[in-house]
Amino acid sequence: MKKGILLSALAALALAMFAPLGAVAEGQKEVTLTYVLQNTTKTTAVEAIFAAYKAKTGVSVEIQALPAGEEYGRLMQTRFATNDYPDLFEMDPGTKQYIKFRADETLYDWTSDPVIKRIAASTVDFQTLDGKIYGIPWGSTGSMGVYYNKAVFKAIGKTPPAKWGDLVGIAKAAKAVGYIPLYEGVKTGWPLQVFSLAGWTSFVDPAIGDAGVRKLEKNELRLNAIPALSDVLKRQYDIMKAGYVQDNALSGTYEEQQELFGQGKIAMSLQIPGFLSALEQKFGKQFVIDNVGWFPMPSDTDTGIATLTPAGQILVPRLGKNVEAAVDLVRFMTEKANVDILYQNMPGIPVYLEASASLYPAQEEVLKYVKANKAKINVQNRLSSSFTDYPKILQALFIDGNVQAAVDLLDENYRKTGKARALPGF
Amino acid sequence: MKRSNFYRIPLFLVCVAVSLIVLVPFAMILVNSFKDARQSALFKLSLPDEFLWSNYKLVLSKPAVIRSFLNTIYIAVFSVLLTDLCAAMAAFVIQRRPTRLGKAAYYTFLMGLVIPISIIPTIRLMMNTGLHNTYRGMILYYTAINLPFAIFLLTGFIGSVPKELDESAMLDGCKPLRLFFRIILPLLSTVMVTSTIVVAIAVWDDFVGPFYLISDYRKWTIVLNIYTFVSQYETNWGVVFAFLMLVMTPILLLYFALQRYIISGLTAGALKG
Amino acid sequence: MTMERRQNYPYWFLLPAFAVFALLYLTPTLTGLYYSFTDWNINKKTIDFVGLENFRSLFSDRKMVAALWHTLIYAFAVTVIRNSVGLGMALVLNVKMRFRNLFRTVFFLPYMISPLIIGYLFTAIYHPANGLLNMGLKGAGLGVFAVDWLNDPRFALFSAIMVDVWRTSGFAMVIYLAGLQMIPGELYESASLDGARFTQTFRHIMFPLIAPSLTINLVLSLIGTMKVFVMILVLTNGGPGYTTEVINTYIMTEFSLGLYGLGTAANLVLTALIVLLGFPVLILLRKREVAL
Repeated sequence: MKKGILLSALAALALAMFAPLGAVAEGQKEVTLTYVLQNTTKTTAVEAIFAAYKAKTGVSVEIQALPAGEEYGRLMQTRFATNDYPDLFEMDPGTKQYIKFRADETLYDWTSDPVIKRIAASTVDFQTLDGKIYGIPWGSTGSMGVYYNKAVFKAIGKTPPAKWGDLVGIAKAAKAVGYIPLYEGVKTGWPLQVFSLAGWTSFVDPAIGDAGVRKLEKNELRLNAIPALSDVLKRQYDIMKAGYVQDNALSGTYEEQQELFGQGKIAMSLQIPGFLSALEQKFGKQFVIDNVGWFPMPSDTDTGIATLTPAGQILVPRLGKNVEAAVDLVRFMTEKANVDILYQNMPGIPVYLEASASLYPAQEEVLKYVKANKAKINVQNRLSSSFTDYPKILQALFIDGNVQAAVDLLDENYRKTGKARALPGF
Repeated sequence: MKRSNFYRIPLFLVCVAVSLIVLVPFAMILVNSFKDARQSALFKLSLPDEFLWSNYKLVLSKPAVIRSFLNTIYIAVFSVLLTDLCAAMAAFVIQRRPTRLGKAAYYTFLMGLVIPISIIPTIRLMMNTGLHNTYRGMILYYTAINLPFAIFLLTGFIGSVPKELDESAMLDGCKPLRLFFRIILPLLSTVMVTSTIVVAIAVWDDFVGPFYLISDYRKWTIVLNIYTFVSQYETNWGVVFAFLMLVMTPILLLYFALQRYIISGLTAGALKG
Repeated sequence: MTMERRQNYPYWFLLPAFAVFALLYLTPTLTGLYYSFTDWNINKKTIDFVGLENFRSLFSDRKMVAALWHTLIYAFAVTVIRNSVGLGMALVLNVKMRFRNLFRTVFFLPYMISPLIIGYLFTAIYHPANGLLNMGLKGAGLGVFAVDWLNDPRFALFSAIMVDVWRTSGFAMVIYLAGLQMIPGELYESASLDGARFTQTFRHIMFPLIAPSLTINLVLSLIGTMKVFVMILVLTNGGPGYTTEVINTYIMTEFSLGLYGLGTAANLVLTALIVLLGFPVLILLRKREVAL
């Protein structure tokens, strides 16, 4: 008798353990699409668009926010590896994502889809790999460069630099009066890259040309064999050494950078376009309109070439459960009314032909450079391999000033990653 | 030990000092969990001007938090049950039947205490067996990694259960399962409490397991949710502290209620083993 | 053993535990051994044998060498400091003292809390401007010591070490205390009758008799600290630069990049390190226990 009870208890235990097999499965009655994005993305725009979509078609879209950064890419790749495909997801820009996700096997092919006609030509080019398009751009073009506080510049009597020497002069003047000339988010890590990536278009591209970049892509040119790159890194280190960054350089964080910039204590910040939305969230739209300016990294002789950050993209797994619905959703999202909502919430240079977007003055500056053809896309987006561990390499550079070691390690990681991705030439 | 009373007071003060070193950080979290973002970033020990419950409300309002609490409890309960059961059975035989096979098994289990978990191959194995990203997979994982310590603890303890009991039961014609469940197991209750608590806390506190083995954020355990509150872009310390308090509180309650068992069990097992 | 006895302690009792253990611990460990020698990564569909290539790559990687070094320093430093503090506190509590159990409860407390939580807690405490530590130092007139604990490459590893000590000394203390309490009172009495001072009592009676506690604590310390991961991840993420990288943070980086073969190889290096250091220490200490 007792044994029976015991055995049935054990059996119940075993069953209970296997029960929640379906516990987290969604109800399968109506179609619900899952849309995955990074948890640092503002969701106001997509929420509004999805609400409109539901009103129109009855299809709900659930937003899943995953940890941002390296983690995000890995989590998505892991899900692909376990055949756990989301219906559609946002991803970093560029065709290197096609390679990472083995697009030809796993992603929906947009090449001949009418949606493409809505996109600006240069962006269409950017999204094309070997004649195929697997990602639909979602976002705006911005620039990595120097975002400066106009009020501070006025106070020290300076204007945007006409050449590199002027930049150093601005830093000197700012420091003399007690402002932080240039804030580097060393502890946070990723902001450190902006200096050299902004500097790349002004110093390295002119030195090696498009041919040089093509060689890098095919591993025919090594990163530690580019004197212009070593030079840019040296300049970054020298600026820090000369004391033109915050005290306690190594503890600088992105949070503090936003805070101090808004309080008018910083003259210049090397930052990504997202800096503007961050400032808007903390200090209001008017602050960004009145006080935030932008200029590209100046070269030794002129105002330099702007580094453009392309829009992110939406990828649709071909092997997902609701491909048709997902594709339909994307077509809806890229209609004029909806891209307008996007740009209203995240101002920037639009990639959609019909979209009307209002830009911040800082962004208008960027547009000027684009129109004057003095802009180039961020080199990271032009290459299929990656500058792996770049933030750490730069942190180490800030500690020991060893530029050679930094470029050697950068080169090594670049080739290691290329080899791991089985890219041609590595 | 007899020592002149002269030393008592300074030693007592040393204990008080060390206690402060231990407790003050916790006090800091507690106090600052009631302050707003700007105030809490100052990390002061001072009491808040006003007790803001909004931080706690914010943390608890996130469905991810409640969900992960439930996930963790679910996984912890079953991991504990499975580990306790398997470990007790194994320890029983290992201790009572000291043959070569038994010893080999014992040392194989102990290897689990030394050799680090190969987490990446574990992921692949779980993917291939359909255990990846599942509750049952996590339960089996936690059982596997806690078995070494549980077996170690229990084997040491079973030694103190007299064999005569077994023998008299056997004379009464008792079968092994019955012997085990009705006679041995009840006598192990104190050390089982220790084992239960140790495993439960191991599951509660674990970061590595869910981080590598669960890719569906809805199945995350409680500590992984720190990502929800600490990002690269913005950290509201008041909210983070409220979250930390919520995660710590169950453990603290469990600990204060049962610390006798934990400590005595650990020391008994460690020193007898 | 008699037939009946064999039947009463059936081997199949071992099966449930062994099954789970074999599946989710032994199997990955063994396959890990194989994968260490392959180029397994997230971008390739096939897994190919590459011999010692991974290890060549590991040992020529500046970051891995730094990680190895830091892991050893961390393990050694934490073990020594933790056990000294733990033993010291055990000796203090060994005295007949009021609230002894209360103190024991308090000292053991941090060990129960997740290293992740402790990590975030100390990120706040170590904050260069507002953190409790520096505020306390400045208040006590020791402002010159108020450095940037987690971001200064000179102090980052040390800061992490001290957090580990704070968290785990209670555990060491509890084991030592139990060992001390097992020493029969008469031994102390005869020692004091002989007029022995405390240091002599310690050296000749207490220390030798707590040998089992010492063995357990030292071995567990060494093994556990070499596996350090979450604490460092949260406190410094291996930074600034590479100054606090340890093997497990290195493994995580490789994993994040999808370089699974390399990550597994690094894990094998860690295992080898633990075995090469742990076993001799264990055997030496056990021998000492027996001899004493």
